[in-house]
Amino acid sequence: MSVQEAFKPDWYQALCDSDAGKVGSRKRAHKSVERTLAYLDRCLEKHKESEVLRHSCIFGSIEGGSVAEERELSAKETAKRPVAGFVLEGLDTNGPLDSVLPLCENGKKEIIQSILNELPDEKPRILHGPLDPANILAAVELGIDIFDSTYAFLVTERNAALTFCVSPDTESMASNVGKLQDSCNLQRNLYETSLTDKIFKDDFRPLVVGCQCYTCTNHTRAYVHHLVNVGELLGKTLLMLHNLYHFLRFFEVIQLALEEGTFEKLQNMIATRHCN
Amino acid sequence: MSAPVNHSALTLKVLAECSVTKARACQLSLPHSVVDTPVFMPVGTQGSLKGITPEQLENSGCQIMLGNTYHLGSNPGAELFDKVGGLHKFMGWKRNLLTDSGGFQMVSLVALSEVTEEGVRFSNPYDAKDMLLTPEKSIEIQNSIGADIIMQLDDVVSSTISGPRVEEAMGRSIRWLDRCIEAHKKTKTQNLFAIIQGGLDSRLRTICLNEMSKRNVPGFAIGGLSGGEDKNDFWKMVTLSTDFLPKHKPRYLMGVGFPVDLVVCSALGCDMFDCVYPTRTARFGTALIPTGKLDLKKKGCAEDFRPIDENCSCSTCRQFTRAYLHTIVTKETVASILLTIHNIQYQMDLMRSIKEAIIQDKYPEFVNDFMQKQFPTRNYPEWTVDALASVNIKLS
Repeated sequence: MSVQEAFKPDWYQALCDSDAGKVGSRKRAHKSVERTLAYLDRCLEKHKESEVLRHSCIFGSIEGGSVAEERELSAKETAKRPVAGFVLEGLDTNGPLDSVLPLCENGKKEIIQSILNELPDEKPRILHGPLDPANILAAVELGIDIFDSTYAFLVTERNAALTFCVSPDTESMASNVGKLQDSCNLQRNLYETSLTDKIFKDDFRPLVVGCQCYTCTNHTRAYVHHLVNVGELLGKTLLMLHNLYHFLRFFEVIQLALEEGTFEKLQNMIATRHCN
Repeated sequence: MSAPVNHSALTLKVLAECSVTKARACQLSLPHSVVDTPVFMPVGTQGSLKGITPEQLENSGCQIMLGNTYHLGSNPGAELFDKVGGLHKFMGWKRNLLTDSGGFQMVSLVALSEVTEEGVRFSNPYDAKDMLLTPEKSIEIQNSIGADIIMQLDDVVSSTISGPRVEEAMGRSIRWLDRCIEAHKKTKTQNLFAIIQGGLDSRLRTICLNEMSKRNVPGFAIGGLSGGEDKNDFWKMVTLSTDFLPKHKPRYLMGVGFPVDLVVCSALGCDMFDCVYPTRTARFGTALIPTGKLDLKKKGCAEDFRPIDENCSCSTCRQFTRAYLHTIVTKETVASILLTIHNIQYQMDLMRSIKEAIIQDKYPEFVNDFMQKQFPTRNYPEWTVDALASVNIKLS
């Protein structure tokens, strides 16, 4: 709490115990729920007393591993506290850097559903971790409001550009280039295109035709390919600029689809154009 | 000798000459933009300045930067440049470019390179192929890259060696200059500079100066220095060269240098400089400031909430504190970018203040002021005292 007071954030997550042990381990999962609630209550005490954190919002964390009853308990109890929002903890793989957080694995969707059933509608819910577009849409459909940029970052780290379709106006590179993707991990490549591919050596179009990001308005696939090929720092900078822009555009598109009632259509488009 | 070449690709206008030293402030007009001299040219080896976008470089006031032919000739290669229409278009840089010949990199980067009259033969570490870089080949690649200024292939020897090899290299550089002039196809858009060699031997340097200034090239470089030789010998070769070289053509001192070197060698009559130092030292966490260097890694910066330099207008100094930079330096990639931006700005600002001082005919005062800031205890390096004295500046 003293760290939070020093940082003066707009919102912060109360200390939690997200180590729920092995999959299915009830005892450890229960421990993580109990402990997290105890921490939360102590943080809330301090939060109430703190002059400095008067304008900061405190978020509670939902624990319980993969045990549905523990998750429900955690959600119910946390919802009773005066928190501003909720962080759904312990759902990412914590695995290798290139892992995506698939919601269809290990009954994760069901767990998230059971959590959200217990949470009030009017408070935001956060799900951290590297979620690809289909998984983001699945999470949004369940009721998650806030995500982070891990996925975009990981794509950059492997010298790739996000090229999945975000609007009918932008010509996605993936569809442009066709099905010539390299053989490694096809699932991954359907949202992104690796700039290390020699095919881009003399391709002087922007990363995604129609994209208005700094990289696409000033530079070409050939130049970015050259930079990543020779290990120049600017390569990653240009890729990150594009990937963040592209990723944020996706969220604008989601918001618009929800407003206009075309969310299902968006899900179908992503599924048909980009999923196996 | 070949017929006089049309120099419409370059014009040098001398705006002011220092009444005390050999310094001069000029306007160098090149195909892509005008360059104010004395000028410092940052080095963007592989078609990029380590993490900086062309736009950020433009914002610093940089009007000309370097690319290395050896690297670019390998990746992406001359063929790609022919396809895209040159390095300017490829990297999105609208101002001027200068490429070296590729010779120096070969000698310094490649363990096994062999120099003959034909050219330099070496094994390319990128693809393990044997390559022969001839004067003709170097010009051909540089023509493809399309820089506003291109350099002759010279026979470079280390400045720390002596003996007959130095004379051999000097003589060969003259012959290679002639071959480069012959091979150069784009005289209307690219300026071929000669490179004066001769090591630390004034006799050899003089021969080279004599011969090369007979050739009708738009500019001259002073090469073969800044390679670890004694500074006391270094400055003598610089000033010998500027004494001899024609006044109406630019003088480019290759591989120089540190801020002190720039100030002193401007006094000796040099117009153009290049060095990896400011960008390289940024990546190690060192910022350049008027009093010398600031090591952001030092504990003293941890609670220092001032910018690197309160008078600096770069984006780093406008937004970040020493304390913040201290926490990320050598840990986060962005730290080296932030420091690079600052160090480039420092160099640009330094050169601009050199130029302004010359125009106002106050260069000796400027030099004194600068040196006092860099050496507050007045422990000036011997070579700077001697070099400046040779052009009538007495350091107080």
